[in-house]
Amino acid sequence: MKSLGRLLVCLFLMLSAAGVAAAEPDPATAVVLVASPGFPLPDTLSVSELRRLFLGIPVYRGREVLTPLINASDKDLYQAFLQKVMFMSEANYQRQLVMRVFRRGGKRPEVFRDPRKLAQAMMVAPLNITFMTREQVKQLKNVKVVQPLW
Amino acid sequence: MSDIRVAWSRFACLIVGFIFPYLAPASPVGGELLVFPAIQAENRVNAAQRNDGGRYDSDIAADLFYSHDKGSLLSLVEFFLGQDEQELERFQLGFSVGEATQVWFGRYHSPLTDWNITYHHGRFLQPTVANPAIVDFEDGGGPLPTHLTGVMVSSEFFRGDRVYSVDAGLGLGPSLDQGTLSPLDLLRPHQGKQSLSGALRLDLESLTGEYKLGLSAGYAQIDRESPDHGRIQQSVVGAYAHWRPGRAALSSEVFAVHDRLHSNGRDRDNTFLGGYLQGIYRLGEQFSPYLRLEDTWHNHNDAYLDQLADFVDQKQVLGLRYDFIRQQALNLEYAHTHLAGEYFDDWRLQWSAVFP
Repeated sequence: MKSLGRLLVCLFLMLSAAGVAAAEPDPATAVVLVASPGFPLPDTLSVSELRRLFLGIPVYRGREVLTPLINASDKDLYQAFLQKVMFMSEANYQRQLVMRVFRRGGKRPEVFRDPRKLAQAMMVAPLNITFMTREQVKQLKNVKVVQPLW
Repeated sequence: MSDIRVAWSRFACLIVGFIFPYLAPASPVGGELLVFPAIQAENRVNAAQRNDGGRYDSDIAADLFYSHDKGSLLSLVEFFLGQDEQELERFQLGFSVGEATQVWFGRYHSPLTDWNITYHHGRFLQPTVANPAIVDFEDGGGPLPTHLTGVMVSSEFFRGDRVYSVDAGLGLGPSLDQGTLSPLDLLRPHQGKQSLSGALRLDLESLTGEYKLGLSAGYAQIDRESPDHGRIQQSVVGAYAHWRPGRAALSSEVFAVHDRLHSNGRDRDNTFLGGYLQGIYRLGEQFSPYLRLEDTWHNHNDAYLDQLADFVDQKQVLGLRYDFIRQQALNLEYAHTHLAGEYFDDWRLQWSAVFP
């Protein structure tokens, strides 16, 4: 009975530690959703809306449709985004994007491997939206953090 | 129609498809070009009665897809270029209504079968080389319409990670010419005698691709080459299920087909069932062995199926897919097939890809 109690205490402490770690991500690697300063969105996007957005399914706010830009400038960030938001491997994600367009038309989200080009694209239209680490945000001027992702 | 006129017609369709979205007021422009090349080698053995036992065949094909949206105007053009077949596969112009509804006009893939609207000529997308017989293309011996020319309305509704979709199409379906269904060819519209056909599809799927469930129904009037040969009325109901537990993926599609053949002043009614069950298991990120079982029930003496020269009523498919480079795959596949009272075996090797 004593050992069961100890086990439960240990389990509680481990879960608490994990909870604290999850609640306070490393500021350097924390990832946020960003847009240009003119981004008109007053409310945040749900995880389902994010998935739709980055699967190429139109997501509207009012009468405006958001335009997703995929940040592939940092491989680890891109892989983490696929795992934590899309719940897919990269191969499966690419396949889902192609299948969506092949069936219903439209266009896949644009992919950026160069952070400077991504920064330029963010300035082109106020409804362009992407994800990046807080470190990347610091290096850019004129971007607006819409919401934290993890 | 001469080859030159056909070529010019294809070129004109591409141009119209490209400029149509620019007619809308200024708004974000988007266009997508996809190329699906495939090279296939096939060896058929044990087909003594069909006189093609030991036959070796090869095929090089490319499917060219282009879609373009501007504001609410939509366009989609698809050409299939094969060694024996060149076809304006899809030519759709349309507009969006509200946030998630599209209205299309032109030639499109019938929403009657999931396989048809998901893969069709995008060979890289489909897990296997051969199509299941019950949903095969018209010229592959398939008994169901896979192309319609008319109007289609598609709509999607979202609830969390669930997507509900409705697709309804009404237009000209296939005619039956020389033992094969023949859909309307937009470049040769005078060929065949196509009549009314329609299909309705309801789907529920998860955004992450873990499951998908679908129901479909269709009706087609299929005219034969001459009025003396009569007409076929076909009613279809179908169900589809896809489930991806962990590394496995299970898919099944089943149809009940009622056909009424009007000929020489009398009607002959038949109902048959057809479907497939397919299983895939992912070994790592690159290798995916698969197995598919196909069967047809109550098809003996079916007056409609007897008209189709290449309808396969039973098939077992075993294969391995190797995704060796990003968006390129190799398939090695074995199929044991029953066609026209005879069993035979096929070995297929295919390279397929999608660019860019």
